[in-house]
Amino acid sequence: MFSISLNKNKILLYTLLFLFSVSTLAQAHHLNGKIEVEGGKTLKNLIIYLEPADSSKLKLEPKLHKILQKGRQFNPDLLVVSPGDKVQFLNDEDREIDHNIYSLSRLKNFDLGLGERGSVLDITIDKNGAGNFYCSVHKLMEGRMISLNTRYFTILERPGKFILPNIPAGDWIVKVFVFHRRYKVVPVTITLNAASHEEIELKVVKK
Amino acid sequence: MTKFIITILIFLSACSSTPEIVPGKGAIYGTISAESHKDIIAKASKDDGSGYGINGEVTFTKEMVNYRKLKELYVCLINPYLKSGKDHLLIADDDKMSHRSLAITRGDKLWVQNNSSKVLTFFLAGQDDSIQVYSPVNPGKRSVIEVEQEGTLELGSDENESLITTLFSRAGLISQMHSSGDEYIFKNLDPGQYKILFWFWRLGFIEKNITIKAGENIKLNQVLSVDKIMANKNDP
Repeated sequence: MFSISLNKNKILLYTLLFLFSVSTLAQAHHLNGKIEVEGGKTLKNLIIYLEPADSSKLKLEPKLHKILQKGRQFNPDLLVVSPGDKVQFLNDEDREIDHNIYSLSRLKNFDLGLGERGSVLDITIDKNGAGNFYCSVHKLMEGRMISLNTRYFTILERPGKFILPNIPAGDWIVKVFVFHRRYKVVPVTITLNAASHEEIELKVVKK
Repeated sequence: MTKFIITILIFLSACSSTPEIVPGKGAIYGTISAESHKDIIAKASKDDGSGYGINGEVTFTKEMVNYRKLKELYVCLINPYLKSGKDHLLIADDDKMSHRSLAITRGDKLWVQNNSSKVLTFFLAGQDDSIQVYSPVNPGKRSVIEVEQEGTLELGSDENESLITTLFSRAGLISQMHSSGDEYIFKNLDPGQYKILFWFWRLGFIEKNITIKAGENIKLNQVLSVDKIMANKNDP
């Protein structure tokens, strides 16, 4: 008797979860698009992201990111974060190699001191922007961090097609972070609603 | 006898690095060098077999930044009366620029020589959307712009992303480029308030206020390291 009652509860729970996910998905949209560069140039690492048109609707739960250092390389060496996020630097070298990670960028000034093998050192991001970080010991250790007011982004290794999945309905501004300082993308405002199937074209142009 | 010769040598060495006093003018001089982070030096000084320390000296391997041999350390003097308009030349080949960094001032002329095999269009980008664009430069030719921007700038080319020079631009700045351990000197300076700034592109800079007085030479040695730059930023 007890067993049957438990199963009924489980069925009810699964049904509710199913209905909840269906209703959530019904409100979420995939944004498909294509990005091209003026003159057909191949630019590396284009970050396409969405910010809500009404910034008061922005509520981002802090997230934890990890950067590994094995082989004297940052992995990942390009990290997208948001204000409030924590970034952990883990020295996972397989032998005794020390690192000293620092940044003197506009995004965040930090000096993590001696990072011995096995150490976990962290920083908290407090604003938007972009900056490089380095290891002062090893000359090829360099990484980039971009802090954006969004969790909806994709990094394209080269221009082409992209998809941003599970975007809630509403008004959004599509922006692109371009590392090449000669180029920019004019932001585009879009509305995602139940009826729409969005497909946009973005153009990277010279400043 | 040996002691006497050593004393004479020390005296002569001191005389050669001290600038001559010019009536009505002042000077600032010293050495510029770079070193590892203090925590790395501390670990090396323990000589515990960590792999990069012998008798308190950091042993640099080929993967490491060798601070003793660091090049392109800039010493910059800043004062509104210092004149701009200096010519600088950067040379581009197929995969790199002649300089990774350059300290300049607004009004300086920045020449770029194209020694690569392709036509290159250079630009100078500021922190915001400000940009200055050179006319396209054929192989073997050069082009020039007058620098209009301030801050940390980037000189790059449309065609080749590996051609990058980081520029530090401030109004009223004159600069000297040195290697670690070199001596620098700014002499025949009018008395007044100046800023002196020591910069390495990958580390950042240390900035100090100085007062130049007539008939006075100031000696200022500076070491650049991550921890020293961070301390200067927090307590400039």
